[in-house]
Amino acid sequence: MLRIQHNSATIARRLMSQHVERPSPMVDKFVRVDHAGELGADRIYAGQMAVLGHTKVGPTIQHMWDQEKVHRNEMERLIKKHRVRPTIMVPFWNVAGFVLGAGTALMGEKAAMACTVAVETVIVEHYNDQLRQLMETKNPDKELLEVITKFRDEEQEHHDCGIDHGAQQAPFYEALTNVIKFGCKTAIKISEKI
Amino acid sequence: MIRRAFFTSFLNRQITRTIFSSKIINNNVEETENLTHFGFETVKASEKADKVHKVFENVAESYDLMNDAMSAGIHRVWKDVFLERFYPTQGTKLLDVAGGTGDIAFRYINYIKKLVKANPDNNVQSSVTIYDINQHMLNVGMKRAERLGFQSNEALDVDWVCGDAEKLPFDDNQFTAYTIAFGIRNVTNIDNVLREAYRVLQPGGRFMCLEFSHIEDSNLLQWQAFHHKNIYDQYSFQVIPPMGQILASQWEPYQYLVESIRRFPKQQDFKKMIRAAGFRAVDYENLTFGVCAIHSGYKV
Amino acid sequence: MTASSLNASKSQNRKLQNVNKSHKICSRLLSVPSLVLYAEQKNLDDFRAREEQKEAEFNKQPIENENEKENEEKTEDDEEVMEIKNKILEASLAFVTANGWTRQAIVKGAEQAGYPGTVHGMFPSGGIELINFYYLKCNKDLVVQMREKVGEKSEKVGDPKEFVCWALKERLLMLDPYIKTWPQALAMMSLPPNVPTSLANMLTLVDDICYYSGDRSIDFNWYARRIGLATIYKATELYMLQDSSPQYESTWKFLQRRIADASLVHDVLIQSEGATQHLTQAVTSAFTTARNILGLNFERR
Repeated sequence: MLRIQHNSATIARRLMSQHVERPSPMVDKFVRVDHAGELGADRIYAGQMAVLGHTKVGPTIQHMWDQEKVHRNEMERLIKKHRVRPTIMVPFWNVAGFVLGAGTALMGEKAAMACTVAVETVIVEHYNDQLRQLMETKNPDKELLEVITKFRDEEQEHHDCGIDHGAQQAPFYEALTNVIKFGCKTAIKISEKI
Repeated sequence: MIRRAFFTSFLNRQITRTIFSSKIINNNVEETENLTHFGFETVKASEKADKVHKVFENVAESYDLMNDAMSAGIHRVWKDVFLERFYPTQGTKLLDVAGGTGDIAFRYINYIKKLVKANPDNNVQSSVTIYDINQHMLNVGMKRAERLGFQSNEALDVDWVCGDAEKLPFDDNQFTAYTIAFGIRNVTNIDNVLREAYRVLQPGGRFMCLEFSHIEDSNLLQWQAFHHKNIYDQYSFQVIPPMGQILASQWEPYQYLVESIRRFPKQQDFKKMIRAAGFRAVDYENLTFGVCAIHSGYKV
Repeated sequence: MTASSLNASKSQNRKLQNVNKSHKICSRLLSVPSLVLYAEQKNLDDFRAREEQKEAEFNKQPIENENEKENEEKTEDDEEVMEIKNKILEASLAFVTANGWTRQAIVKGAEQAGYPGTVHGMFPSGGIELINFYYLKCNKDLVVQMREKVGEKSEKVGDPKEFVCWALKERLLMLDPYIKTWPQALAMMSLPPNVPTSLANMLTLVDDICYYSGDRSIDFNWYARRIGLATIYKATELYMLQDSSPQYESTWKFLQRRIADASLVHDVLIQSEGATQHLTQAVTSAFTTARNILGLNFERR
């Protein structure tokens, strides 16, 4: 056939963008993956609270959890505003996040903090990449930029908080953080597509 | 008789040898304006037309043999695919440039004949004008047409015109389709030909070009592309000229033809040239990994 | 240096490395306050080196801008060509009843629009391009109607089920002029090369209907609703093709039955979702009770 530079994804995207109120592919991808991230983070903290809620780190985790809840609500608002397709993996991330949080919390306080540090590291890097990509476009969405910047700063705080509470003294710190980071990066790649 | 044939071919060889020893001529030429390429040689633009003319004069009789040698017989399939992409409809006025021996035109006539048979009450007139710079090629084509029965009838006009593709003797907006198969690499100035094509086409008319092109390695693995290019180069430079010598007692025209393919612009560049002439919805399709390519554009 | 002091410095280095790793993350930040907080001279130099490398990479990018200009010109041209194509396809729709969804119809349409028949080459896939054009045209018309009915952000939706029923009915009625040739269109749409586009078209349609019916879900419901609606639409479409009742009355009754079925399934699922929650709560309370009984609640403070 004469080479038409279409594959089905391009066709679908072009069809989608013919309707005025649909988001651009970049915004669609970013909001979807950020929502998945915040959902995952929310569930991780829920898992950690379920195990460690009554210990002395309980209030710290509770504070971080509350901030994540705010993040998640904000992302959900953005989904509704921009008419973004949410990720299909929502039920899966629900369960996986809770299991990760509870699992690391069962290994002890420090392991829970190590999990927090690993996840927040990946998220901060991810937000920075998004900010860079947004800045390179012609008319970046100001609201989205602000939101992502604010969330990135708060995630950085969580990361530092985790370090302060002795994450690095967790058993098998290196191995644990690497595994969790790899899992998070895979999850991000998956939710960007589906 | 055999002695005469031998003598004629000997004479041919002498003639082609003197023509192709233009290197000596070039050293004496002092002005260097308007140089172009003739295969891998550099010649004056005014001389190229003559040189090309001589090449085809010599090979007219055995053009089919030459094509078979160049492409191992696949050129017939390429031309069939070319017509399939074109998919002529009744009422098309086709200008087939550099179509001297009539390959494309005869396939087109077959399509029209089938359509006329299927729709007997449709009284639309179709036409094809076969145009070539070389009267010998046209003569060969006319003889073939007579032999195979491809002549004008009440639903179809067939004309044979001789002239230069860079200066078409036709009015503006006269044709609805323009095809040039394996001809455009021989012209002196491709942009002029494209401009003339744009001029004589009606609004909505289609420009189609079938030409040898470059093996593209976008869809192939690196080693696969290298492999293909290697085989192709070996075949082109080591096999084709000797085959020409055996089949048609001519070596240098075949050397020229192989070199002219290498000098032709790449698919993307040729696409840009077609766009620059004013055509839109320009696209190309590779056949046989890029050994051959169909370029198409519309005057919209 | 003695072995022990070597070991000590090694562990010191490792500790520093660990600290550096965590500081690397903050030093990648573009905000100044965190930089000030962790301003060790070594990290500052590292940071500078990294940022300079990034700048060097960024500076290579201006070469891409030249291609951007060319691409801009190309897209303007492309839009004009798209308009011409749409004009030709629009004219071809009139010939579909007589010639089917084929290249022949496009040729006749092109001639009607004032172009010579050869422009049919702009549609290399033939009849399927005409089908896609019509499908998208109907989708767009439906969106306009829906927006009129319920407003831009679906403010005026009453009962979502009624709305969905109405929307599907309107959309299926648009097939009425070509109902005789629609089976051919469906067959062409299900050919393997055409399946991705056809799926995309249908999912766009279904997404629009769900959105304007007020669906703002953000979880798996988003997918469940759209896929459910797609199956209803497909079933009703197929039913309509063989319906010979006046004004397609049987089809509308079929549609209502399907929507009732879907609501039933939805209700059952909601109840079972509640059941899952109950189950989870039951298991958690059993676990906590067991822990209390066994006295393993030692972390209570």
